[in-house]
Amino acid sequence: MRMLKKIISWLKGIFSKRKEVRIGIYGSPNVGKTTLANRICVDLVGEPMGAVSPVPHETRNVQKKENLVLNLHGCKLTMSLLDMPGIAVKVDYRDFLEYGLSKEEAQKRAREATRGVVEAVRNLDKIDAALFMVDATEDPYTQVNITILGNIEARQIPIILVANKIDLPTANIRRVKEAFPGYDFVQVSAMTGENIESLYKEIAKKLS
Amino acid sequence: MHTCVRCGKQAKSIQEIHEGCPCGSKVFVFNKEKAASQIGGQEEESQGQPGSSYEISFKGKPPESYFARAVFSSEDVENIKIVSEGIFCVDVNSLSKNPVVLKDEEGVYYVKLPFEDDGKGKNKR
Repeated sequence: MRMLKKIISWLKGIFSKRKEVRIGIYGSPNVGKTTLANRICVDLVGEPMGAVSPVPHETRNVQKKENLVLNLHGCKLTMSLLDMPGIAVKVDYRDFLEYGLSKEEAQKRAREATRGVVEAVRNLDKIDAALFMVDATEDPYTQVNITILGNIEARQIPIILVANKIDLPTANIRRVKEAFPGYDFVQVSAMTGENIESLYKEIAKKLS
Repeated sequence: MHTCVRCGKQAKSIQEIHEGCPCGSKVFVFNKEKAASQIGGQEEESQGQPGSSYEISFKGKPPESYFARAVFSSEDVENIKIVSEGIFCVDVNSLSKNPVVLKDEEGVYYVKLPFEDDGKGKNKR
């Protein structure tokens, strides 16, 4: 009888084991997606995910880190994190020239960035949950924010709205909250790590 | 090289594509091979009605990169090209899978993000 219970328990363990949750980090360029991805990866596996840069569209391919295990107060969640290229409705090489890129380099970057936008949109069909990032120092009422949030919601994908850059004096958390009420909301500084624990709690609560 | 879908005549000019074929149709199809041979200076005969023949005349050289731009390569991220004013080239295959990407000029792109009511992925999960 004891052996039978053990077998049942073992089988339950196999079948109840949740597969890896794919979490996509979405948002406009330069809102801090890669900085947050690096913060999470360093915290969970000790190594960053990708390079960050003040030049917009630094991440032009989907970056992926698998087998990240979040252990929080007895909750265990295995996830893969997908750092998406920033989504924009216009990509203009002239925006990169001020950062010292040559015209050819800027045009190449614009082409790759546009391909990245397409890739990010296509990946909406491949994620289980989304961290949607907004720069708390900027006006949140943008076409990209509204459209992408709508797309994620229409797919019935769980969303956590992340207001980033709260360490900056111009950050306006209230404005972000008021712009997108009804979403699970976390305010963080991916750069300094401020309040990052709250984000982990929200992820564990929502997805484990 | 644009050919009328109704009568098969080649368009004489961009103006004609704008205004429509003399037969009344306003739908033209683009023929890449003919366009390439036109660039090479070869005269093409119309595939239209027997006996009819048209010659493309652009008043001088063809519009800059007119034909070369009307071709998609694997390097392209856009699925709509502006060939010249009022003339667009569309990659229908890409449009069925990707958001609309319009290339305005080299290094300048516009992306139309899909809206949730476009139906894609709705109630997928």
